Amino acid sequence: MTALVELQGVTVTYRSAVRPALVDATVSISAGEIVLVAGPSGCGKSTLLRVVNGLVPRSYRAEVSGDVLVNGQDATAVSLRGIADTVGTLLQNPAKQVVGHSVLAELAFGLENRGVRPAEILSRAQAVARRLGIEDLLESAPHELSGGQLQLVAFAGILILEPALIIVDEPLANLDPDASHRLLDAVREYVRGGGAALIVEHRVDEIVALAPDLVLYLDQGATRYSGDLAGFLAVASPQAVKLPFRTLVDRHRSEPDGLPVVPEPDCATAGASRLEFVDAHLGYGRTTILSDVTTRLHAGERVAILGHNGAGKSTLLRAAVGLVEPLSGEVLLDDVPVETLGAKDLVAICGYLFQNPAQALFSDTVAAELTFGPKNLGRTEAETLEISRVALEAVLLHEEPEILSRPPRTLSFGQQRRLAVALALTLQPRTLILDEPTAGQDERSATHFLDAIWDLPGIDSIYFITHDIDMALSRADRVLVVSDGCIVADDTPAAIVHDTGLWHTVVGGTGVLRETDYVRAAREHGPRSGRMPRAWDLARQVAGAPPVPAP
Amino acid sequence: MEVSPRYLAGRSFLGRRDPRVLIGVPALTVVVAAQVEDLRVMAALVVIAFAYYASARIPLREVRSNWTFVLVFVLIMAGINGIIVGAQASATSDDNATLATIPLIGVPVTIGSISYATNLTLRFLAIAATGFPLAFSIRPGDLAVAFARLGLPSRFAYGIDLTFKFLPSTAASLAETIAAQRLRGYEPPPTHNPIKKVLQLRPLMVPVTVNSFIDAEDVVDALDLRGFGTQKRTWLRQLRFGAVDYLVVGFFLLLALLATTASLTGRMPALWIF
Repeated sequence: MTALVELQGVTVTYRSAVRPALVDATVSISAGEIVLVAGPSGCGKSTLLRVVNGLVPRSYRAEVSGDVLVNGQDATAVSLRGIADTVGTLLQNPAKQVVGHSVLAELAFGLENRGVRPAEILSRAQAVARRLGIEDLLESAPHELSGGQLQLVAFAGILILEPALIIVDEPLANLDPDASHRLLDAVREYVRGGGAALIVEHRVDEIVALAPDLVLYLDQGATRYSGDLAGFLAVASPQAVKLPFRTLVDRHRSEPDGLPVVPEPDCATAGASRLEFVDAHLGYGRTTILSDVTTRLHAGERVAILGHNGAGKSTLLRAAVGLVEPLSGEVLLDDVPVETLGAKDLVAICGYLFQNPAQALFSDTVAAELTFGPKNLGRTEAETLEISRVALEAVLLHEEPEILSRPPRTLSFGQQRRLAVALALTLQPRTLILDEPTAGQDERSATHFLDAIWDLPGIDSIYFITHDIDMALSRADRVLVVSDGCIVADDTPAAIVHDTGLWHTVVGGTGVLRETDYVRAAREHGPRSGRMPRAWDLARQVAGAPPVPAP
Repeated sequence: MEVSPRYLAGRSFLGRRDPRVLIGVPALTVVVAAQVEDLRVMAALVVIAFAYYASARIPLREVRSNWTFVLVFVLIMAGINGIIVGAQASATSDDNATLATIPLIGVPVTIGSISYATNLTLRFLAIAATGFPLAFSIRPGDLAVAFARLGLPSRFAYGIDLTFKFLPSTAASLAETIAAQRLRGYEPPPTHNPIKKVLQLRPLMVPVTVNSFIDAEDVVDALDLRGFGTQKRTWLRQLRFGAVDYLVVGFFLLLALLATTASLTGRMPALWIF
């Protein structure tokens, strides 16, 4: 059987780069196969995808050596449109991919470009919508959809073109666990029906259920592993990719690290009220997103906010810094209504890290970017330089060569995230608010990033939004669960884990949160109260390492 | 950030029209208004234009800021400019008493120049009144189809559609950037120095511009990967030009023909002075 796409010894060097982004890549994908591509940020995954879908070298100028075959044909002789007939691409951020003004228009777009008759377009759109369970959304506008729905619509927009191979670029980066499973189920059904899929994803634990036929592990452009899933799980570093919890336990059993099981410290003692919501109704314009919010987040706490896409998590914490004004009720920071605080008073209490770190980068150099905040606060030149130096050291960016003279936008995504934290730190806040701090980051970068933030000097409290349930439970002192326009749970991680009414195991279950292997293990082996251990430490405990008595 | 253009016409008279009507009427209004110099005729055109606008039933609260912008623009550009230019245009008239002289530039304010400026102001208002439904009464997505059906190449038609989508998205991105910079203590002090004002905008304009380019690149990739522009395309959305649509366009077409004929035959009334 001819492979749908075949790469043989492909090396890619972008015109503007010195080093190759992809080195000697070899992979073959046939009908009915799922190929997983994993690796840390900057490993060459995106370049591999662009070679397969033809954007390299057609849209991105690059030197390409080696052979790229599509349906057995040399890809250099095939137009982008010709490749698109075989290869469909689901981009990482569906909001960038969806161009239609309604779901129906979005599904129709690709077929319209191919000159298909309107009656056939309509019939195929209805069929694919039924297949993905989105037929009720056909008349909806894309901006009305949740992140999960939008991802499914983008997928349907590709599926309707009936490509033989679908490329899925980090499909889980912006999705809650239920939405992730819906999308992965759709991919599984597509492959069962004779299609093939090439999936790039850091969260390997979620992809395991798809049982990929081949795993390609890339690092710095080179292929470090190419083989079956079992072999990959046996050799993959848990620090580099997020492995299934069962794999972590197996790893401890086969290669014990010899470390003892150390009980988790108690949750941090709550200090004074830092952020208080008093009967607050929050929303935009005339739309209420959250109702009757009454709660206090204290100084000294690490608080995780969990909930589905579109549940109102961001709305809750954006209200803390005045980005959302309460429709009624009050939001208080250090007992003062947020809307009465000037920018300078506000930033002295709270630093806010947006999902997109490039949202505010405008200076020519990192040095100039760092001085912007302190200068706004009226600091002297000497103070500004000292504050900038301390902030850069705190996020471990000071070791990067010539970091101060580099343009901020030339930094990698992970480095930009660190810089964004440093920029917040230059204002010397006491609390940090983080919106999806690990989205789009590989396991190693995410862990280092969070470790660095959790140890920051001068920050007494961190409030963060995440879809990563395991991370939230193992990093927080307290967890708030948002659903159906209100806070439905507010407790310690242990109490949340043991509240079985909050959890479900299948899509459509009654609980708000989707249960993971980590959660099940934590319920069985973890502490009955307080904090939860990190996945790696809990796996050690499950594997039977001797516990150390509490001091 | 994905934001959709605003559609405010609901099921109103214009909301039910073929979108090509809403593109054609302002174009024809420009043809008529550009040729009318008699204030009385222009006043009649303004009444027709606002009747047309009212039939879209666009809620005023939704477009108050847009109208404020248009009124300020019209009063400054047409009103003041009209008085200066109108002084020359009406200089030969007999009934053209000078009421005052503008200090520094020495331009006389005459009854003729006021008549000219009023005519100019009404001309812009008539065009704006028929133009607003084009912006707010065409359903998102219909714009590209309408332009394509009017004979424009589909790449160009879709480009217009994406531009309409791009503008509110950029406005949302700007709002997010303002929020992000405010959280870095950015509160520029008020200044009357225009250069300082421009420099103060740098922390906002640079990120918005750069992010817009990055977003645009992603959109181009998304279009390329689905074969956009590689062959003649079809449109799922079918437009039907009904009898009422013909009547509305026919009426404005008649006005345009009358105005053009009057101009070409020298029967179009000249500037009318109060």
